[in-house]
Amino acid sequence: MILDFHVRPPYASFLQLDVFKRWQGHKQGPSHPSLLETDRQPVPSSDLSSMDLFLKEMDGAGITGCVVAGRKSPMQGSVSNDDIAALVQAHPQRFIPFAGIDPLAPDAEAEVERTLSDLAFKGICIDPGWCSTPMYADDTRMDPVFAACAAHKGIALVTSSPFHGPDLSYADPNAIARLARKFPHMPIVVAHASWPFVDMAVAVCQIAKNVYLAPDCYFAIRDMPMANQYLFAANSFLKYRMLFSSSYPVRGLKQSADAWNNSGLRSDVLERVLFQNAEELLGLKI
Amino acid sequence: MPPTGFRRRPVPSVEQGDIDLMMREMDEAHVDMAVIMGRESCGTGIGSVPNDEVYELVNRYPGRLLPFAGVDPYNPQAPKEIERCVKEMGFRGVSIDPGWCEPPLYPDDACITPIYETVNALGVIMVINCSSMLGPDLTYSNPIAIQRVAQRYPNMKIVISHGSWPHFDMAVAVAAVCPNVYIAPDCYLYVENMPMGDELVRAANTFLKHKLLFSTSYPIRGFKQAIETWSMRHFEPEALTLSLRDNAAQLLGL
Repeated sequence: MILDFHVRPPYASFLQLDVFKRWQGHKQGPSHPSLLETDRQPVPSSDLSSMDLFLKEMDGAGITGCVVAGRKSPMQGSVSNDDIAALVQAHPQRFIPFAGIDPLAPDAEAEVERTLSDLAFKGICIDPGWCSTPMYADDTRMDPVFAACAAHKGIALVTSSPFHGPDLSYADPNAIARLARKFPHMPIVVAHASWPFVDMAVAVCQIAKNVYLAPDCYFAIRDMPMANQYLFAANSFLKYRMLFSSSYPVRGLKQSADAWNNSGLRSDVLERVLFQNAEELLGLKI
Repeated sequence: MPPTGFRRRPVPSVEQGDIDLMMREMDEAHVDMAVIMGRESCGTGIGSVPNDEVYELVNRYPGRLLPFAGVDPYNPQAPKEIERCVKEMGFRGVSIDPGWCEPPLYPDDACITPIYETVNALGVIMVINCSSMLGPDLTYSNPIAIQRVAQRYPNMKIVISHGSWPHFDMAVAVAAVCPNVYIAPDCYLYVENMPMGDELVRAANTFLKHKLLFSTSYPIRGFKQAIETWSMRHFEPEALTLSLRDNAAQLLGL
């Protein structure tokens, strides 16, 4: 059993996101693969925009549940949170909804309230580096949105990687540490886990009990620099705070799950990371 | 002993100050060509080489050496000197040492802009020396400043000489998001057991395969030893060949 903490399924307005435009029908050229292209296998459900195939790919990868990550970004495209609600309604056992929020939008707080309270979403997704004004994760302009999330006991999924923002400083996890101190009771999941600042990211988890790392492809791609540090941490103190995620469609479900299964995580750690940590965090355990 | 001095074997051509001997050492190590890196620095104890001497040396061994001009960002004549070197003498690129300027500079300092503008307009290669040894503290080797330059001039090829060591984690990420950034880690990769070196090799075996460049930083090491220990790193065969030859050939248009 596997819970995937970060997918954008090939459904409705998700298909308008830049991440789909980037990867749909992607073919690796003969030379010069970029970081995210490294050994990437084709993803039929994404290429064919097929939810039926996606569900089959979930089953084939042993993935029983997926966090559906919304996005509202003036730079990278937006997903309707109502589309997410509709998808979850159609497959309540498979999908866990997280709302996409543009923290600088005038209705941001109201949308957090609506999705977490009225629609019973489990959390919100924020891309601080991809806002109309790129921001660091602890920017005070986002405080009201995170406060609303915390008030509704939501989880904040915050993206942090070299691609999210105008330069690498936006991936520095010190901003996550400061955000975590501001909202000590709000769980924060760092999507892409602040790569390449892996040393700092695992240390942030050490000092902030509410921070979780979801390093997705930065853990799955072979020979990823610094990834061993995620591994060392997970096999010791980070055992309860690392979460499997594919970041689909950046990488397929099966390829991601296979990579994590063969990453050198100890078997007791693997169980926690692939399933139990997410299950407990999402409150799915009965 | 600085980390770069670890287990250094003597280099006769350095000790004897003999340029012909250096060329023989190149032959023995099967080094076909080498970039001659100029230097102009106002920093104390750093020194300068007239670019005309670089040109003279290159012409002494036709087909073996490629000239890069050294310029000091504080020299108001730098843009003119670059134009002269490139247009009149066929230099392939320009080298700066921001951390060794006096006072020291970060690579994205506005006072370097005239140099970047000139190099960008001429379409030659920009070499930025960047490591723990350059500058009064480690912030000067943080490659985010180079990322900002790379984004301002997306068509200007930038080589990070010394690879921003020890910040190889950041350097590979900068190279991953900036197609115009190359890494030449020299001694920070070929010195045995250099911390962070393996991270760079991992990147070179995947997404950095076409952007890692071998260099000796002679006289820090002799040619033979540098190649020997570089090759002992865990490169995949294709990545090793690319780093030793093809990547540089492609970048230099050879």
